[in-house]
Order: sequence, then structure tokens, then C-alpha cells
Amino acid sequence: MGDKKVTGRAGRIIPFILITILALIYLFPIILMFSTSVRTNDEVFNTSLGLWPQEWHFENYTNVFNVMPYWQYFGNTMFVTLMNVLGTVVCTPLIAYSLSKIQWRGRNVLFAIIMSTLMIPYTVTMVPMYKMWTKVGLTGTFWPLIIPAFFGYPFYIVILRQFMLTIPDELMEAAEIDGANSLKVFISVILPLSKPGIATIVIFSFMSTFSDFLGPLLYANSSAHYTLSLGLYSYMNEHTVDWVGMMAATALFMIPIMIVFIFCQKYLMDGISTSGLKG
Amino acid sequence: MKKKRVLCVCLTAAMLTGLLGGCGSAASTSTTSDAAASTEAGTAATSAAAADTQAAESTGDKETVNFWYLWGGDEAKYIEQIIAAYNDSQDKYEVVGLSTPDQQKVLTGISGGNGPDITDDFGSDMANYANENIALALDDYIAKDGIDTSAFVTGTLDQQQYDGKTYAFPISANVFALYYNKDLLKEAGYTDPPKTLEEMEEMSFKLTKSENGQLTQLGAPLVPTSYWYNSITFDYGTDYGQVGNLTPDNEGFRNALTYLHDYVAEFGSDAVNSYVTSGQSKVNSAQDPFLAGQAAFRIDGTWFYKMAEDAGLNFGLELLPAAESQNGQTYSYLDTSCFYIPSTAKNPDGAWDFLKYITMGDGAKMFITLKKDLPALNSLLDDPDVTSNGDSYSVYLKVLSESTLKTMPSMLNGSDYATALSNAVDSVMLGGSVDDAIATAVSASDGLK
Amino acid sequence: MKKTKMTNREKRNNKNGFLFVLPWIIGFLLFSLYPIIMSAYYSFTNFSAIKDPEWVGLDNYAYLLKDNLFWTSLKNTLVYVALSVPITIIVSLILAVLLKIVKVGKSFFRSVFYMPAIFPVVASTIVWLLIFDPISGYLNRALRMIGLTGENWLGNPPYTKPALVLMTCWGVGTTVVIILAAMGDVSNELYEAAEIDGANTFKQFWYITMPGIAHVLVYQVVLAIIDGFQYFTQVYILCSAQSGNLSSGSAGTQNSLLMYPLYLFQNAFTRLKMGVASSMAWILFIIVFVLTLILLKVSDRFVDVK
Repeated sequence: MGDKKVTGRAGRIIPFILITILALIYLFPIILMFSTSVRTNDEVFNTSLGLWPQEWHFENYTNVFNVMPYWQYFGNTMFVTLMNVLGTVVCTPLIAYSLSKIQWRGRNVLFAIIMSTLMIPYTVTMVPMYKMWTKVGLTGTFWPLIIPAFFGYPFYIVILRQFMLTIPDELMEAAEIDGANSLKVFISVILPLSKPGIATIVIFSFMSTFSDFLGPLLYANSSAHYTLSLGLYSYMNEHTVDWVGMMAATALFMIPIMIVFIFCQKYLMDGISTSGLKG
Repeated sequence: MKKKRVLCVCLTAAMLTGLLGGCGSAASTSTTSDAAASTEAGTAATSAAAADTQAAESTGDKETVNFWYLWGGDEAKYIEQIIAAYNDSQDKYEVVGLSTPDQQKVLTGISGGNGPDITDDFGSDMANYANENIALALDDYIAKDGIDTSAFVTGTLDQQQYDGKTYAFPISANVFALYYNKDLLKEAGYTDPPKTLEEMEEMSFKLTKSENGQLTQLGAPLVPTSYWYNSITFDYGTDYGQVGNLTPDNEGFRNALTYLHDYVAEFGSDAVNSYVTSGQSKVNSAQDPFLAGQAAFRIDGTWFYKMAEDAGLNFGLELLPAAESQNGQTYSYLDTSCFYIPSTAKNPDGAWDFLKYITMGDGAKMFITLKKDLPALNSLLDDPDVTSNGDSYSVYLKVLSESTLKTMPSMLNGSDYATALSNAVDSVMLGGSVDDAIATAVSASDGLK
Repeated sequence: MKKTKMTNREKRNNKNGFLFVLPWIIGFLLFSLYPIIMSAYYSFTNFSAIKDPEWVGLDNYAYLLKDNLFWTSLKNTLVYVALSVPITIIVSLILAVLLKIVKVGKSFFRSVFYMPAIFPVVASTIVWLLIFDPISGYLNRALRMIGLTGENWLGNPPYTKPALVLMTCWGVGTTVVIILAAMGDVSNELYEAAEIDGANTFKQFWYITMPGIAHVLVYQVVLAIIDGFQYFTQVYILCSAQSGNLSSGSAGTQNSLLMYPLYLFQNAFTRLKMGVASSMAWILFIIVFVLTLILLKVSDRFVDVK
């Protein structure tokens, strides 16, 4: 198990073969999605044709734009997602800073409460939240999907707090001796050093909002407010199921996420490795 | 360094704005009464509508009536034609249509107070909507305008009534008929479609093919899963009873289950169930077993005709044959599509005007001729523009005029009852006995309202 | 002099600390505490989003106790959680160990295993529907190639939960990366010492790696349990795909796909019984809470929490 030594050639080759097989299995559904998206509807369930398409029907992709207002849904999705990211970035670092670097009465109690709210299933608060948003007249708008982000999600707070704990106190003390107050210390010392942690929560928040389904399902009432998740789902409510169209739409849905993933992969992996996700 | 400070000030400012916004909404939650909250809902809805690309700016001085409908695609285009015709026909209201194919979304919109002024649904849901105060009772409007509801085909208004009040008007009647694949019947040596229900069942065994423990051709009309057993149940002249006397143990349902039981015993539970599961997820697509030419029979509604035609099938369509015991009397399962005005409608008067237009006026005829649905209005049954709708149409019109139409009981726990019945079907499909399935259904439907 | 300065600082800290977490406190009151209290209140009332709540006492709970579908959904979710939690954790462990051992193409493999975790659930569920199709799906086709008959994965009740767990296993990327990171934190000296003592790879894993990452595993198990009890979107999508019509309320053969949150959702938004849905929410809350507490208590005995 150690980094140094793994015994024998077999000890190296067998794991490699295993991991390759597993990787192929994990890749399969993704390949299948792309492969189905360029077929004709008649070929979808004809599995004997194999994964490689006989002909490439890229028109399936252009058809998506005819069937659903893709750009409108994409715009809606991006708006909700970016607002969530903004909310998370704006409020989480200060909260995490207070919980990790400032000694104050009640801090530990508060952190315990935050940890325990992680345990509340979404379904428990679903009905009252719905009722609440209804009362203030915001169902059918984007706001129920956005406003809570500006008050900090416990999951992200915990991640960032753990990350900030790894920043040495000496750096803060040096700044404090120079007469900086808490906010100044936060801005000049903690924030710059927390970049990897913040990047992690940005990516998490982006990914989870972008693909969220239940939230828009509850709060978007008309197709003017549909996100891509709902747009994709509404493919299934039509009288006829257009499998290739749905797969092409799925692929178009995946592309923004994959771009973010490819660009942020290193940040994300490093972030997870160094941050408090480890418990 | 300076840049960062500016950034941070901005961030803090943004956060504060968020905070204040949050506090503002919090304050209004706690201080406003429900009545005030609903006005708020109205304002929010207006602003939401303004953000909507289909905003009602073009309405001029006409009052806007928001109309959400469950249809999409081509059907949505027909609806828009009707809306345009209505808007041209008068100066008082401007109907704005929105295709919302998910019933759930309509309901959430209504309960959120920013839903439509008028919308469509299935008749089977109306009892619940009435009881939950989702739909507005139309009786005052009916009395005021002196509407004669006997204009609707007998039976089609039943589902829209609850507790002595009328909550919706039917737009179309959905009845069912039997499609059969002529090529497959010929291949098995049959020149004619079945004359009786028993004959169809017998033929379905011969029309089923299996290979290596898997079905390759489906003889029985088991896909879509929801239509066949209700149709058979009603075909014996029996039904599922009424609230207070629910009868899942009726003769017809027992016969339907026995048929399935024998079919499963012959071809194997796994084989049949796999075929049905697979077929069910492909219903109405190119891979639908009937459309792909791999199923002999299909019990379905008018909408299926065009799909079968487009699939290039050599198929026929007949009334579901009568059971031997019924001496030629046919029956059909009836469901209705209907329009109702939600209780949270902001313009119920305009909605009522449009409702009359589309269910009883010129809109009704447009709807039927464009969408090729079956009319729920007596006056349209022999209207030449309607009867000329095509071959399939005459079969279904015959169902409407000749068959006895039966509906599922109008009840609050309708979905629980439907689940109890479909569970019974599932358990027979999985190899269980008919008696056990019925006993479970009886106990599950006990006490349903 | 010095002492008063400290006190001032403490005061300032108390003020600032509190001020900085204020957004969360407000958010907590609005979006956690208020809904939880209201949910408890609603659970004793009869209401829909349009009707105002009307006090009915324990009626909703009594109704649920007699409701077959409630018990079916609870059973389905418990079976799913009981299967998915251990299996996903073991699969994640295996993948993490392999990633740790294999040196060639490490970051490529890591990305491959992580990728499904970012796949939108709506999209992945539809893809899996194609894979699980009993007649023409790729899974059964692969099984037939090796001489097995294949199963009706999403249509035959005993196989639905394993099929769902398989889908979940595909999306364990985050857990894998976290476990991998935790493994990296286990001190190399321990392995070196073990090597000198002649401990084999398996022994090293069991006696060094496992204790070293135990606290992480406990945390992941807790998260997996909570996720398991919230399992919703996948079955929602599968059920609408299978019935072709949401209003039928169908949830798989003999309701074998009717997960607890799905039935809760149906009660709240389709059957319009929000009071009953709130009762379900509270029952779920208590189950999750008790399970988590038990787990944390038990793990305290075995795991040296850092």
C-alpha cells in the first residue's frame, strides 16, 4: 500500500488491468450517450449495431434548437447558477473565517448547529419552504432558487472552514500586530490564501445548481423559467419519445459542464484533497 | 492590493444587498395577512409575466386571460389557432396561451397564485380539484348565462361534477377501440378481426411468438399498460363501482386478470413482463411494439391512428368486440379532457367567456376538426365537417353513439384506487394467482373515498 | 493595562465573529429552523397550498400508519439505503485503492471515475434507461454474451433496487476522490515500518490504511445515508418514462420504484395532501436523525476521531 513499493510485476499489472476495465465500464454510459445522439430513432434499440454509429446524424443536434428554446433554457440555467455561485462566494468565506479564525463565545455551539443542519433532508423543509415562497409571491420566479445561496449553505461553509483551519495563525498575528482589524486580516491575509478552497466551493456550487432538478421542478412554473434540467425532462412528457433528440439535448446539456470540469479539474481535485471534505 | 480592496467592498455591498433583500421578504412573511399576501402574489406574477417573452404588452386595452394548456408540439399550434380566432372574434379579452406539458407545473402555478386563468385537464382529476378548492365552481356562471348543459354527450359531464356542482366543461371525449396488425393476423391464418372478446383473447395466444425464453411478438394488447384491463373489465358490462361500494372483485376485472394469468402461464412471467416493461418505456415512439410491427393488437384512442399511419403499418381499426355474454352490446372506457377555471384565476370572467367559446362555441368545432379528437357536444356528432374527419373517425364516432360509455368512479382517492388495480395486474403479471390479486385489491380499496 | 486590552480584543472578536456569521444565522432561521417548525405544525393539519391549515391532531399520522403505499415507500427506501450505503462505500474504496496503486495514467483514471458525479441526474437516468432495457438494453446483451439470461432490471420488483444501486455506484466519484485524499494523508513512515516487519499489502491495508481513513469513512457513510433517504430525482424520471404519463401516479411494477421522497412529493404536489406530506417529512427526519446519532455513537468507540 505504501507509495514506495508494490511487490512484483503481477502486483503492478493486475491492478492496471482492473482499473482499465473499470474505467471502460464507467465511461460506457457517457460514450453511449454521444453514440445514441448521432443515430436515427430506428437504430436506438438495435444494440447489435454496436457503439460506433453507421452514419453520423449531426442534424439531431440542430433539431434540438427547433424542439426546445435551448438558448433560453441555457440562459435561465446560467443565470440561476451564476447567482448561486455569487451568493456562495460573497457570503461563505466570511462565515467560514469567523468559524475558523476568530475566537468568540458561542462559536463552537454555532458550528455544531451548522454540522447538524447537514443532516436535514431536503424533503423535510420542502413543503414549508414552498408555502413560504408562495406567501411572498415568489413561486414561479428564479428567486427561491437563488436567495438561499446568499445566506450560506452549510456544506460549503464546512468545506471552507476546514480549509481555513490549515492556514497558520502566525500569518494573521503578523497582520494584527501591524494594527489590522478582523476585516482587514480577512481581506489581506485569509482571502488570498483561501483561493483553492473558494475555487472548490465555486465549482461545487456551479455543478450542483447547474444540474439541479427538484428546485426548478418546484419553483419554475412556466417554460419562460425552465432550466435545462426541466427542458430535458419535458422531452419525456410529449406524446412521442424522441430518443435521439433527447440524447442530443443531453449531450448539449453536458457540454457546458464538461468544459467547466476540464478547466477546473486540477482546482477541484486539489480542493477536495486539501479541504475539509475529509471530515 | 487596492484592486482587492475594491473587490471586497463590492462583495460586501452585494452581500448586504442580499441580506436586506432577504430581510425584506422575511418581514413581509411575518406581517402580511393571507389576503395581502395574495395581492403580493399578484404583483409578483405580473412582474414575472413582464419578464416572460410572451408578455401581454400587445394586448392594448383588452383584458388579458392567461391560458395554460398541457398540449405541446403540433397540438399546441392548433390551440394557438383557436386562441387567435377567439381574440379576433371579440374586443373585450385577449387570451395569451402557454404550452405547459406538465400537469404538475400547472398545479404548482395555481397554488402559487400566479397560475393561469383557465387551463385543461382530465375529467378523472376534477373531483380532487373540486375538493381541494383548486377549481372554481361554474354554477353561478351557468345560471347567469342560462347555459343548457344537456348540449354535452351523455356521460361526458359526469366527471366534471362533484358534490352537486359543476367544475369544468368537457372539450373532448376519449374512447377506445381495437387496432390490429393485418399482416400479422394474415401470417397466422386469420383473414378477419375477432368478432368477440373471447375470440380476440384466443387469437392473441396464437399471435404471440417467443424465442429463447423471450417474446419476439406480442399477441395480447398489454401495451400501454393502463388501457387494456379497464377496457376488458367494462366489456363484460361490469365496472369498478362507486364510492362506498367499490367493486374491484367484479366479473370483468376478474376475467381480465384470468386472461393475463393464462397468457403469463403460457409464455412465462419473465418473458411477458420484460416485453411489457420494455414496450412501455417506448410507447408511441418508433420502437413502440405495435408501431414497430411486433404486436398484433392494441387498445388505444384516436390519437394513435395517425401514429400507426405514419409508421406505414398495414392495420385495421374496429370497435373492441363485445364479450359473448353481452349479445353484441359493446362498451368503452371513457375519459374526458376538460377546461376549468382555477380558484386563483385573476380574470375569471374573461376565462369563463373563453371557456364557453372553446367548449360550446366556435372554438369547440375548431378544436375537434383541427385536433381530430372526439366531440363532447351532441351538435358536433353529425356535423359534416366533423364526420368527414377520416376513416378512423367513423369508428370512434360509432363507439360514442353505439357503445355504452363507462368511466372510472369519480372519487377523491382516485389515484389510490387506480394504484390498487394496477398492483393487482402487476401481481398476476409476476406469476401470482388471480384470487390473491383480487383479494389484495379489495383490501387496499377498503375505505377509499 | 494588558488585561483590559485583551478584554477589548475579546469583545471585538465576539462582536465581529458574530457579525460575520450573521448571514448564516438569518438563513438558518429562515430556511432551516422556520421550515422545520412549520413542517411539524403542518403535520398536524389538513392543508393544501390553497387551503389554509386546519388542525386535525394526529389524523395524518394515523392515516399514514394505515396507508399501504406509505409502508411500501418506506420499505423501498430502507432496502435501497441498506444496499446502497455499504456497496457504494466498498466500490469507492476499491476504486480509491486502485487509483492509489496504479501509477500510469493516474490523473486520467481519476477524471474518468469522477466524471459521472458531475453528470446531470436527468441526463444520466435517461442513459441508464437505455442500458437497463430488458429486451434490447446493453446490460442484458452483455449478460447474454457470457451465457446469462439477463433480468428485467427496472420492471421486476426484486431487481429494481440492485439496478438503482448500480446507477448510484456509477456516480461515486466524489467519495472516491475524498477517500483517495485521505489515504494520501496516512503517514508513509507507518507503511515503511510495516514493510520492515514483513506485513503484506493486505495487512498493511487493514491495519494501517483503514484506521487512518476511518474518520473519513464514517463521514462518508453518514452522507451516503442522508443521500439514500433523499433519493428522488432518478425514480421520478424513471417512473415518468415508464408510465409515459405522470398523472397515472404509477411508480414501477407493484410500486417497486416508489421511494419515500417520491411518495412524499406525490402527496404534497400531486395528491394535494400537504399535511400528510409534512407528517412523512417528520417521520423521515426522525429516522435519519436517530440513524446518524447511532452511527456516530458506535463509530466513536472504534474510530479515533482526529
